[in-house]
Amino acid sequence: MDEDLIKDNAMQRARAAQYVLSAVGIDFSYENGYKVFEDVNIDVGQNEFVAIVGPSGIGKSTLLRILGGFLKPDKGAVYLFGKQIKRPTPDIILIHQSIVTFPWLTALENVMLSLKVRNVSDEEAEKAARNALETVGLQGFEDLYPKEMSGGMRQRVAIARALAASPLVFLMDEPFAHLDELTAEGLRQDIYNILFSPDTPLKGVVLVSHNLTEVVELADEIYVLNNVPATVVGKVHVDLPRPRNPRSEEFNQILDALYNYLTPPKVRKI
Amino acid sequence: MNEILLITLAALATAGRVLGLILISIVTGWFLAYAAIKGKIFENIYISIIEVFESVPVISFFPIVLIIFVTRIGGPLGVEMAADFLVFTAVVWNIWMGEYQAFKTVPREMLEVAENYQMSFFTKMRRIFIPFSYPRIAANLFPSVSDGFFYITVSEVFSVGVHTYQTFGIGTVLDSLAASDKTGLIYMALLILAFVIIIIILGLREFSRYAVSRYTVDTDAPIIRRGRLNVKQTTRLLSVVARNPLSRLAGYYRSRVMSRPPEVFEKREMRREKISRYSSIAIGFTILGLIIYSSTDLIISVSHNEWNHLFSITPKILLYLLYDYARVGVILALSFVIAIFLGYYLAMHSRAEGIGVPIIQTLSAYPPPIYFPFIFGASFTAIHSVLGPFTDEFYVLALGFVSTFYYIFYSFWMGVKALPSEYFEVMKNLNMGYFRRMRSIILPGTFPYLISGISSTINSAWGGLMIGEYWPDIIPGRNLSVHYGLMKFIDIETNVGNIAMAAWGSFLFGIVVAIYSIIFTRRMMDLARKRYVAEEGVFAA
Amino acid sequence: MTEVVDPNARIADLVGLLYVMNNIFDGKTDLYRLEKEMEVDIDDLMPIVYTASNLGFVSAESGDIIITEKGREYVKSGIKRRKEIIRESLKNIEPFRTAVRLGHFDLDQLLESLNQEGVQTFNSPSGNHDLEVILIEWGVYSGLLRKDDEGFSVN
Repeated sequence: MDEDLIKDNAMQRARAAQYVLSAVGIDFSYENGYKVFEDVNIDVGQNEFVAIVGPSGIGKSTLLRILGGFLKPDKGAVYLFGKQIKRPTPDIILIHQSIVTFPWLTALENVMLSLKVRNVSDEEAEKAARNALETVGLQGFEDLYPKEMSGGMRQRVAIARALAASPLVFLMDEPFAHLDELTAEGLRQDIYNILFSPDTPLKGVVLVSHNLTEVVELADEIYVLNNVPATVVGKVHVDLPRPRNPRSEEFNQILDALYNYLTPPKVRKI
Repeated sequence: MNEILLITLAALATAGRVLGLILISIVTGWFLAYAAIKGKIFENIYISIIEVFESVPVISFFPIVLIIFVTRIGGPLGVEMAADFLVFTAVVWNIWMGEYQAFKTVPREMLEVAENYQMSFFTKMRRIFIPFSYPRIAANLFPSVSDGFFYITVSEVFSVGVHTYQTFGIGTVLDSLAASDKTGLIYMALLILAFVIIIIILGLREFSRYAVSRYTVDTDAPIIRRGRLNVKQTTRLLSVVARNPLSRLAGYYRSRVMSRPPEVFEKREMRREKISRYSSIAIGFTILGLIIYSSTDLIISVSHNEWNHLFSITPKILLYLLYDYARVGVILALSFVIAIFLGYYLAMHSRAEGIGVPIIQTLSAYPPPIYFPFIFGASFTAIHSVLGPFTDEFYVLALGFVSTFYYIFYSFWMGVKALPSEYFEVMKNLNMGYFRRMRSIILPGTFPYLISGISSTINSAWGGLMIGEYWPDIIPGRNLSVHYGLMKFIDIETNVGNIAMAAWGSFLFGIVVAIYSIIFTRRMMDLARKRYVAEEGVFAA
Repeated sequence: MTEVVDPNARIADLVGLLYVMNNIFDGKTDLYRLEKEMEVDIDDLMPIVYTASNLGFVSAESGDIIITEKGREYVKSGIKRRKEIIRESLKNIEPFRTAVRLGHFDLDQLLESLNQEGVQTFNSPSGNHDLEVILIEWGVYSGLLRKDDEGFSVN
């Protein structure tokens, strides 16, 4: 029995090593005993953009925190290049739904927070932080405080901070949920230009969202969660060239496929 | 058996005194706060007075209280009033301030509804203002109860010259039990008092839970404008942080744009507006007048010679004050360090927190002057063999510490609790070590809370020094006394009946402390408001 | 009326507007269609429409909106070129025209000069903060201005 388990784990790891991030057989319950997930499996391949969708209350944010090691699954494990994730790590950075900056630190200091944990010298840290700010288009903002900036600019500071940690994976928790569509569209374009630029060390991105159009616009692979406890009820591969036009026929077909998974056919009771 | 009944009654009398005075503070505070939001002049006077008195330790009122109540009114009534007044000045300021802030921040929509229905003064109070003030009152009750109990020993029994004045309460009973050396009954009294305090604390917790769940207004939802900057004013902020210096400042600086009464208002309405404005001006001037009258009265009653003597001794008084500031500094530093380690630990470990915080709350309400002599008696020999000549100094600092540690602990703990959860995730995500977390995030993020905690801590450290620096017969046959200290000076002058000297000392003390703390607190709070509001760091976009 | 950058206009909104105009509407549409498609209200939409029009990225007339050559170029360019385009466009509209004339200034000085020019946009109660954010959002971002402890300077 024990031997089997060890063999199982070894196989899991070997399989997981092919992926950037791999969650295998995740079960999770809240403290009050409510079971949220049962046997959830998610794989993120090299340079893949993965999206997770599902009806509200299904636990998308919780799943993201399990992927990042913030929460421990009751069963199953999360692997980063085959190495099990047991606690949060700067290799996997969580981007919050709301924009998180520290108002008592300048833009540069905000970004340097990520660097000092890596035990680099102050000089190097500052240089790397300036680079990160430049990547997001914020040269000239080094000495400004978040309070002096608009939400969009703060978002860039937060992204720069995340990039400065040289993460392999970004976990994004509905980063545009609160914005009006116009602003969201603009930030989306900007942020994805940054994410897909060759300067970043990123190997994969996981996005949770309830905006299906957004998801089809961006993702390579879409996981659909449903049921209680939630499981992966469907997986849709998106193979459209970017930029994708939300008015095209192919786009709508994918949207339709997603809704199919969210509304399974009724089983008539006899 | 009879003695136990007596002790219980005494504990209840003391609790009744404290709670009754708090109730009086609450009720008077409602009317004063209403007058304050209606009249600009009264508001300015009222707020400045509260600010000054809040920053002057209760204890510096003591000699003045003696003059007014004991020597002028006299009799058991005068003594009772003196005791009550001391406790009153300990509990009243933050309650008045809290109510004023609450009234000042009643949402404009609610006021417009009230105007729309032409509600009478009492309806407005009963339906809008008073309910709206409950959460802030609840938040201010804990410190008020602790402050109130702290002074019962000094306020229930005190001596001036050869006279000893006392009024019935646990302080008096303990005093007489100690004098007749009835150790068993003393422990019994301490136990009964602990029991009463625990019941009060549990009651307050219940009340504050109820007040917060029932009476806080969720102003979060409607004010978020997409894509624009909005400082979040969430329920959590308003309720947990009612003593937060920021909301306090917000109260000062937020000039609410009240809709001017339109032309169609009837004459009667206009007149009523005017009347309430005039009456608030009148109240303001009356209070100011009373203060000026009593101080000139006092100045005139002191002879020329005595004034000369008082002036000549002033440098010495200021030197003593310097000694005391050094003591306060030591107490503050110690409290600060412990508060930060303990507060952070408790805020991070919910199980330890569930046990630790109620214990600390109860301890903070349990007056150190009551139990301190027993600790002193039990540990004196051991401490003396180690510290030698510094033993007394050690005990004075220890008393100051136990009287004041809670404030800074509590503020810091609340500050950590109020930090956005996203901050903790970022710290975990970046694998920050303990000291990095503290330096870059936790300390700056709780800065506004720390400032308010520090100023309360400094404030009540004085109370501890007042009692500790000169404590004759702390245990039978032993005095606790320091070499130099202004508090000791005031104590001794009061004891020997030289009220003028004591009053002069406490007057100088009051001025220095008020100026210092207003300047210090104001500057720090301005800084805090400008940069250290953690809630602003999370932008809901 | 003087041409100004609206206090509520943000770079992200500009990118969003131009992107949508270019990729979804083929460069020309009615404003009401834009509003419907993007599910925004006029409070969200108009500040950036006015500002983009003042900057010459779109032309908005009689309920229509058309992307200009400059707008198309912006969408297709990388971040460096985008900043250049904005930098050049800003010099002709307020508050940047006055800012460039002053060369070095703090917020109060700029406000005063703007008043002399008859620009009332930043006289609202939150005007001071609005102006600061606009200067940073557009000016510092595009590299036209830099900010230090004493105030702003033109690069």
